[in-house]
Amino acid sequence: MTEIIAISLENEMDLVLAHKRSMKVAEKLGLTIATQTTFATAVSEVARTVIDYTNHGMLNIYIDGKIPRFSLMAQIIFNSEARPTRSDEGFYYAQKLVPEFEMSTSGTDHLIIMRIGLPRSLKLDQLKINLLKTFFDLEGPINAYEQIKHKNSLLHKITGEQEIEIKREREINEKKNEFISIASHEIKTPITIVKAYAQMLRMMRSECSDKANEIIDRLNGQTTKLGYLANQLMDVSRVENGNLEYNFESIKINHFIGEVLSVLKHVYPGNEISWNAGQEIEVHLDKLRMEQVLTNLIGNASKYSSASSVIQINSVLEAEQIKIAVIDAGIGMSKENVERIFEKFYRNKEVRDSHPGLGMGLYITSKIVTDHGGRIWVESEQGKGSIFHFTIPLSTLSKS
Amino acid sequence: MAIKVFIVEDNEDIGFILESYLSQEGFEVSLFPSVSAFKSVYPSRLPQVFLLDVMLPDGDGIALCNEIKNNPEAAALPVVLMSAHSPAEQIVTESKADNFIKKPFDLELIPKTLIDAIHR
Repeated sequence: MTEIIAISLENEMDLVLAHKRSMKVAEKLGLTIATQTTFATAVSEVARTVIDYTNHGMLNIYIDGKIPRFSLMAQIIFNSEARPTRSDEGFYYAQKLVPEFEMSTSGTDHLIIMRIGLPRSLKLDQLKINLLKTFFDLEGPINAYEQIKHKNSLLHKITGEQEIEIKREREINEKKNEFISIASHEIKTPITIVKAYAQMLRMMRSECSDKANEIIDRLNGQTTKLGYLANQLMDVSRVENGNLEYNFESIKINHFIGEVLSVLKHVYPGNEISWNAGQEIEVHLDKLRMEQVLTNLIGNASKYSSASSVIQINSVLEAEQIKIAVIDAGIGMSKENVERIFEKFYRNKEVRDSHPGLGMGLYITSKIVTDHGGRIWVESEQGKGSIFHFTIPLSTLSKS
Repeated sequence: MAIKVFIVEDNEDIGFILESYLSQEGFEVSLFPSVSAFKSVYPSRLPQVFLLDVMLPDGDGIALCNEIKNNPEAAALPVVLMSAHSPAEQIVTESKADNFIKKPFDLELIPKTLIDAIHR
């Protein structure tokens, strides 16, 4: 069965279209003028009655069958709560015109099929049918109305496809978030266990050889990292689901930074961490989350710079905000990376193989800063180092 | 005097770790792998402190904590909850628990957390 034309039945204008198109198909097939008229009239009569019921009908004209027996077939599908019957005016009239008329109903869906057998003398074959289809596909609109109708249906189709695409993307994204959330939870139990066993081993130091103790220390270090990664993964899924929670309190900024740095000095003993404090002032922040910001920025500074290089922290009190800078003399990054570095899962190509990481840290960091009402950005030059700046507003309008 | 602690934890490894470490640290540990096992002893016997996991095979630690806090004979006893699940963290802060331990935990800090809860 080959579809030759399809016309949606929406209003009176479509009746003209249905008539003209049916006529043309019959003409192209080489049927007599009498048969052309009979077929076209039957189609438009049915269409007229369908339009009385609904403005969402659909007419399709097919060539059905196979060599040597083909038929010209018109199919009309429509949906209506009312109960159309064979004796409705247009349907009744059509039955008198065409030799085959079938009508069936399923719920509120109604189907009408009309058929005219095609004489063998037409010498039809699949090739000719395909040519006929191509002819109608390529033929321009009969009138301005059809032109608009075509454009409209094309637009509908494109919009529909885009909507489906957006929906699918959203679904994939939701599934991915759900997976990250579940995965980060699931790996927490084994991490808890491994970490605790490693700690128990460390408590048995005196019973172990130096070699064993070194291994135990390394094991401890790695499980701590693993725990940190699991927490980051969980943070990413919280950011995605919009439930990163904050406990804001009033904090003296210099005191706070000083405390965090005193811990970080032990975490990154390879680098000298130098701290240039600005004026002391109280700000509104979540201590644990802001500690995470500093830990991430200083951790990155240490990760991407040579041992024993200086990591400089500056804070300046400006009119409406505190501006904090983390300055390293590390490998720096290209302009492209400067622009994309805060994107989720983004990893700089040049360091992907040399420095492990999942590209979550700066993404989470930037979320925490913006959730505090601040801004974060980076200045960098390859081979010279990077400066990460972030601000904390004094009058906090941050969300809690 | 050894401090008596009731631990409800379904994970065999975590149960083993807590039991052996806390025993080593001088606690008198009773370990229960489920709510029903716990109920076979509680409330006829009471400890000085409870350490409850939130997600249990036949119930949850938060409900258990509320049950303890609603029992006049046990209400004064400290309850420490532990969980790896983030929604639980939020629920626990709103519960009547005296403290919360986030998994993965730092084993060495657990004795202190329990003792602090008793002295609070």
